[in-house]
Amino acid sequence: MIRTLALTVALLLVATALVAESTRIELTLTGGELPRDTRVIRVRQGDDVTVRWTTDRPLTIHLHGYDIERALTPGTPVEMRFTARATGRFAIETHAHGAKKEQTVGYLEVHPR
Amino acid sequence: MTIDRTAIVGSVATAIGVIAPGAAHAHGFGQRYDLPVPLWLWMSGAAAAVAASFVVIARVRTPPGEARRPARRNLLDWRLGRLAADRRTRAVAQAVSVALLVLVLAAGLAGNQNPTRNLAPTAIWIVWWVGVAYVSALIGNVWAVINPWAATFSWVDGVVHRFSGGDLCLGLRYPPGLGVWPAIVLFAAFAWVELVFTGRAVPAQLASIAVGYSLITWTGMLLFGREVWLSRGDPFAVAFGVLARFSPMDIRVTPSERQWNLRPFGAGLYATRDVSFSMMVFVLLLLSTVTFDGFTATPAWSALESGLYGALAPLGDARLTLISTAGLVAFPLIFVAVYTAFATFMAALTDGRLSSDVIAQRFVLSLVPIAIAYHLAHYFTYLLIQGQLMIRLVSDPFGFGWDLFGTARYRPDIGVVGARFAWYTAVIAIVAGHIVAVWVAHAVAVREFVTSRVVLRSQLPMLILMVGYTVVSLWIIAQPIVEPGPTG
Repeated sequence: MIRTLALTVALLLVATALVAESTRIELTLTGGELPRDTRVIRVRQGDDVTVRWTTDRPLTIHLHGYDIERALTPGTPVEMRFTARATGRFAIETHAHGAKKEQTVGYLEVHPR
Repeated sequence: MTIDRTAIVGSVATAIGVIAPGAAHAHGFGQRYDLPVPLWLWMSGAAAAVAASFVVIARVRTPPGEARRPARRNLLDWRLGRLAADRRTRAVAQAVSVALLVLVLAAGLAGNQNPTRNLAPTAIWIVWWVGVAYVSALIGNVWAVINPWAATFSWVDGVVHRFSGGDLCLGLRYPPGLGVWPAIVLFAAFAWVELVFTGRAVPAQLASIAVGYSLITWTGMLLFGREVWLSRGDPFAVAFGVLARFSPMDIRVTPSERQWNLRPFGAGLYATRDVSFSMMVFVLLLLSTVTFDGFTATPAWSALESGLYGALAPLGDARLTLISTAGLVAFPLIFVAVYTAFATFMAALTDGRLSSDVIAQRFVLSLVPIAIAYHLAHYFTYLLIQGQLMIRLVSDPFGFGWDLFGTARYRPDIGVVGARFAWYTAVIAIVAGHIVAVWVAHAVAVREFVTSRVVLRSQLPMLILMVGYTVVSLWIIAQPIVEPGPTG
């Protein structure tokens, strides 16, 4: 019984590893905002995700939960790379330089396989 | 091999605009990462709730007029039970609780003011408010034992008694007509702090509010007596007490005997017949704030809020607070109005022996399991993820850079439960809560009405109300959580 269960779990893990994909996402902030159709980014659990950020003004971008922060400057694309290990809906916030305010510009949704 | 894949985008949230000018914060403090429950799952949950209701109504047959006496098991018959109920065990628990209160207040007032680096916001909003609510509902009325305000009052009372022979309490007569109204007013104020007040996560502000609450509580106990104030004026003793009626433990102390009983979940909700009008209002207030908390995190609220935000432009910066306050006032009123309407409907369908007011008061506790289930579903992952902050806060409660237990650098594991597990837990909890609610309402009906036919007729409006309430709960957990945007 336990052996069967362990085997099933192991097989599932292998299967997950095999179907995990690499996902590249290009996101461009204009005036500190994302275009309407890229405000919710969906990936699958286990994916290797690369988000490439471009901006027209200097700001700091923060992906909640995974807690990744990058400083962006105009003209230099910056990448965030991570494995989407945990499922959930994670806010992406910007902090404009000099300003204290945070703004939610979008969400990363990691869906279970 | 690397496969490039552009992410799929677009959702309901984007359609109405994720970024409301000032989307509301959801709940007192902390981040939520819940994925919305998928449509098919919430539809299945709703269908299961409806089907289960009819099964309960059709299968459970108790002759009317015969109060159902649930099975009980006295834990004091066992050694472990006696040990847990021992006076010394309780004294230790109370001492720990008071020490924690002092620590939390000290950290809040004197510590680092970054909300996640200070013990106070996590200890108050997550461990105490969500955690004690869970324990009250699922285990028993632990708060009645460890309440540090009540414990300190008793200690001082004991000292006064020893040295002067008198009582600390001034022994003022509590006006009977006041019912639990003081608890209602204080609970409403607390709900405002939790759901509206922008300083709720600021350690010093939160600790100052706790100090204010302490003064009110001690004054109340001083004037009217400990037990009188706790049962009528103290919002948390009353709220945790209501939730604990659902729990499987029941403490009875009679002059001849002490009992600490195990009972079925929900049995405490139909054990007492006398629910006063003010108590009914308190219960509806408690339920409505829980639902409002969930509702403020939905895109629907966000859209409503941004609409009002634009329309109320002349009011300036106070708009967000005003809009949330209006919502917080509206929800309890809606709950009271809808519930009273259904009670009238019940009175009309039954033999007319009981007025709609009496029906409303006798049945109100049967709604509690639905609220508890929704609360469990709503906070489950939040508690598991945000609760982990405690691991690092115990090592550095003031945020001064200490590392008392070597855990100060712990980072919460956001993958502690997967979305699928969270979804099933949430939907199963809600459906189970619904079944208990229907069962409790049925038990109350059997007690209150004379013939089986009237019992059955009385349950029709109740069933409609409960299914509606459950479907709203399921709907909320199926909504994408809208996170705080810029404030102001």
